[in-house]
Amino acid sequence: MICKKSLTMQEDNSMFEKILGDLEHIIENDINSRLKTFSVVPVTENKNKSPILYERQNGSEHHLGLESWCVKHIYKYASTELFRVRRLLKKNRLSVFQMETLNKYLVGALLINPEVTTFWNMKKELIEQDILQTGKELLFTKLVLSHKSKSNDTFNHRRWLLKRMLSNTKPECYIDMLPEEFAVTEFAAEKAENNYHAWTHRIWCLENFLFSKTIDYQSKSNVIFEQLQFSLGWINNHISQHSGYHYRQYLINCIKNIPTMNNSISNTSFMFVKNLLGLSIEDMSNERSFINKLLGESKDYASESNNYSNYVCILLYELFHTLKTLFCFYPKHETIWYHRKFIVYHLLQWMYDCYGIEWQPKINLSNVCEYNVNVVDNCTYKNVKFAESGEKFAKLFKFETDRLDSSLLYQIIVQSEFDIVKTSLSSACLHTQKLAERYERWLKNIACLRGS
Amino acid sequence: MVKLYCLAVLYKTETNAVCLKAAYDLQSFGFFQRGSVQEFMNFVSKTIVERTIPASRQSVKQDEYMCHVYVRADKLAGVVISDHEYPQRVAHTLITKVLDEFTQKIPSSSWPNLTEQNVSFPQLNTYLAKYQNPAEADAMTKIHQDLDETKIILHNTIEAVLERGEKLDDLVAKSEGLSIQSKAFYKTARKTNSCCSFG
Repeated sequence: MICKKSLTMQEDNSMFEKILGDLEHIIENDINSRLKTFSVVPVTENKNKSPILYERQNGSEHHLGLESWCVKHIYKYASTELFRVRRLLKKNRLSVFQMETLNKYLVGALLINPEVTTFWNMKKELIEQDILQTGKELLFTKLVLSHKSKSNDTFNHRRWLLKRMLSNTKPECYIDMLPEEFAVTEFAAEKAENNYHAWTHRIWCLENFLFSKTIDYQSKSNVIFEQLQFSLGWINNHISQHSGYHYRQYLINCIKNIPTMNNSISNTSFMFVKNLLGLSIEDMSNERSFINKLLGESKDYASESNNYSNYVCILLYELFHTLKTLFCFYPKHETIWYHRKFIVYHLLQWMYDCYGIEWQPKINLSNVCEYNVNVVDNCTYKNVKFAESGEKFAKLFKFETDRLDSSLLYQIIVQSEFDIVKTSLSSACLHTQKLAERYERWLKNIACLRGS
Repeated sequence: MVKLYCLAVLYKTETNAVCLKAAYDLQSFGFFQRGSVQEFMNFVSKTIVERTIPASRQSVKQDEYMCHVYVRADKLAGVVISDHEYPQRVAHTLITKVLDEFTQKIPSSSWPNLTEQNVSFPQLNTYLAKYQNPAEADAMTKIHQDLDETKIILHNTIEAVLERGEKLDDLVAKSEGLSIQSKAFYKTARKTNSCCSFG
């Protein structure tokens, strides 16, 4: 009896070895070309054939699948093998041959469960020993992400690989690494809803590859505007995924730091704002006259307002065009209200900065929690402290505040925002009414919008 | 996501419903599951049309999917399967439009004897692609005029549409349109309640 049992164990082990070997072999040979996805396919019975499904149609993408019945056995076998040698690998006591055989267990275990940091660390050690190649490993992480698109460990490993590649790349060429990362993150975000990890990875790539000193302003601005266009398409199709909007908000903030550049988006928003506010070409001809028109004449605004017309135009376009269209189709989605708060907040913030006035919301901290201000940055908290001693200061700034209130930009925001609240409050849908009520409270208490 | 997965035209007879033409967009599903998902969408379309009385509209929510159905008085029926975020009235406008065009192209006298193979109606794929973006697809004004939204009956699960005593599990087990693989797939999906618990 015992003998028989150990025999089947042996048979099983050789079967697992074979499956793992086959998986590694397929990936090793195909990952450079067409292999696009890996998935576990629900099959309840073992039909006495190989559980590996490998789809190769001529001219199209290749797909790899593993039947679900064998997943837990394979994973158990591979992870036991890996933990057995973990310590030896760390102490560098494995021969090159032994290290080379390790990869098949790593491939099998990580494809099934990429959330084990230890396994990724073993991969790192093998890469540092030159057993594995960085390029192929990047492709492997992409394959893992096709199965587990929200795996943070996988993204983390990918960043480690990218950093390693950066050391061998000329700084001018950093920007060439972006398209592949954009493709990977888009794919991952498409696969899993609210994929915050994918968007964070995308932002990390922009921060590290685009915002280095060696890259000129024109290229930076091109990439950012291209991404704005992309994200517009994205939010249109993923209407309630806040992580996508967050990426867009990050991009909008980036525009602040990039000098005015001509391109189709900035031109569109420019023309839109011109018509919206009924301005003439002369009003828009230079930064100074444009800002004078928006904020009122004859004031020497803080120097930081320079080069901001692009930023303001984009914000206004977002509020009066993009959000308006989205709102028409999806009035019941809370995310769109959050995005609205972001835009209005940043428009107001910019105005207050130009006037050199501190923002003075009439609230205390307990209200902050209640009104859900997670879209608003830390700034509010700073101002909250200020508001505690605000009474005296309020008088001091009365004059400036009046001027701000009467400026064209302020009035147009007040009107549009209270209009939208009014329209939504009269809607037949209870949920929309509730969202509108919340927004109204936010406008009055956090944004401190005065009027109407 | 705002996404259309399936657009189908069916004919409702006294006892069952026959699919006359269907178009699918299943790119977002795993490669090895697309076959089963398609079978399920077909199965659900039929099941719901069979349980919708003529001259009425229904929208059925099941997990993250919506199934919109309209059976006309002349027994021609249209089904849209979408993500739950896809605007409902746009989905119903799409069905109306498709059925109107279908009636123009294919004479109503031939409907009872048609099968999916001998219907040529490639416009279905065009519509499916075009309506993926509801904002571009149609002018808002048109939608407002066409549709009285209050007339659409809403259900929160597919079980609510079934007749008394009927169970989805039994219907799946009995169905001839589903392969053994798809039935196994349905069972696993039910158990794990994963994103594929369609049906």
